Amino acid sequence: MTEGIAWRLFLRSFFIQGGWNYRTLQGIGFAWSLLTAERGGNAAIEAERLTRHSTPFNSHPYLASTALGAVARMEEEGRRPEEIRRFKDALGSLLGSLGDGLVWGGWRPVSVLAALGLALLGFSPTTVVAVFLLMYNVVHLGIRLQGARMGVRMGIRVGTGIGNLDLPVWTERIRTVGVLLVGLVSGILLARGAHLSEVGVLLPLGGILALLIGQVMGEKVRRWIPVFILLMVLCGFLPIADWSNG
Amino acid sequence: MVAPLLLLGAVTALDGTSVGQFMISRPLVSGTLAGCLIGDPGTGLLLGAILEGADLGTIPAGGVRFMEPGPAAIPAVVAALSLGGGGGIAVGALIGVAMAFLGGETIVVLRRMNGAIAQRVLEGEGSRRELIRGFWSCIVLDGIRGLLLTVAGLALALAIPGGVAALWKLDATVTATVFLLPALLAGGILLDRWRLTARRWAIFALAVGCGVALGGVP
Repeated sequence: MTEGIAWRLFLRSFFIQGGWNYRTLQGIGFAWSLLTAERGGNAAIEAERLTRHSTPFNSHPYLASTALGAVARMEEEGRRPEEIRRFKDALGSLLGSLGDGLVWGGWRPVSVLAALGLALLGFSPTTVVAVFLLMYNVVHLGIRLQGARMGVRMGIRVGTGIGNLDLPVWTERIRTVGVLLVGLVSGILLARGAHLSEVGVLLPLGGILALLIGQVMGEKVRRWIPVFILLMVLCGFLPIADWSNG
Repeated sequence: MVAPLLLLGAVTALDGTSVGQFMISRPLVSGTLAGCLIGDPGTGLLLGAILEGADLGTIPAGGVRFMEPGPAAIPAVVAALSLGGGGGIAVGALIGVAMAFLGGETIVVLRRMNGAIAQRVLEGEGSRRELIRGFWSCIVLDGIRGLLLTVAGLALALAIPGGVAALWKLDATVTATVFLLPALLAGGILLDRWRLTARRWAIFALAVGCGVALGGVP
């Protein structure tokens, strides 16, 4: 297994979710990505492998490159199909939960909050977007590339490598940064609201209430956010909003 | 003008799940890019931030249904700019949320279609050709989905009569600030998920203080 294969798997991993479906999940994308490691092989063996790897598989898309690398290594070592299948299932679940916490529940909202903060502080739109994309994708690309390389290098032992990365510790650190950014963005927004003479203290009070409701009720209240927006729109069109203009 | 917006819609839809996930599909980015294309990146960023705030912290894991605010930001920006003022922002936000919901429903349809393709791939019994064909069919379908979604959104945005915005009672600055409030609700949800220990409470309180100080600076 060469560094070249790790790079090719890294590049193909950007398409791992191509064809995501409720039947095989990332199966199509996984099998397609592995094609790059199948060059020059026996057609019958290749067909058997592609059939096996088109079956249901799911993982966090950024960490799936780790699974790709490890599976490619195990196939090259000639490990038994049943062993590879069990390994894939276990690894997919592990990488999924690690990635959801680290990225979707951590780095992504943190990056968005940082960008919102810059926007509220008056940075130009292009600066806000550039900082966001750069900040986010440095971590994104690092995860994909290092995952592919580690998977190819370690094969079936990649679980040890993942453990050594201490991803849960990093997730908690990112969450702490996220708490700081929620505080910063909230403070800026509340202060800006308080400066709007048309609405006086109503906006900051509404903002504090929103923050408290979210913190107390958690995910249960997320589905009401669009309703909240709809109500705000309706209120703004009603004559009761005339008070804001004196 | 329309063609670049449609292309942006298709790219944004693809980036959301099928290809890359570089977060071009985030409304903060797609809204700003749409604004750049139309000549007002500031309004694009604002509508993007409003939709971003409404979607902050969602986890698109597994088969969970979720809104798709990325492509939705494009018609939201178009509505805001064509109507103007606070009313334009309000209508833009509403269109953005509506199109985000519609986008989420189209993702469900797409995934079912992908499932049928996946079944054919499995029946191909390891055929490389079937796999490659099936794979790229799914990618193309997602791009077409994004394109059609953007067409529908733009049609909706441009169909809103100009007089509607005139009925809006709040000015643009107040409107913008009000519509960023859902971000605080989402922020509170994140605080709940991230568990506020004593140390994090202290960090949060200090950060709010700094934010208030910064926010008070004109």
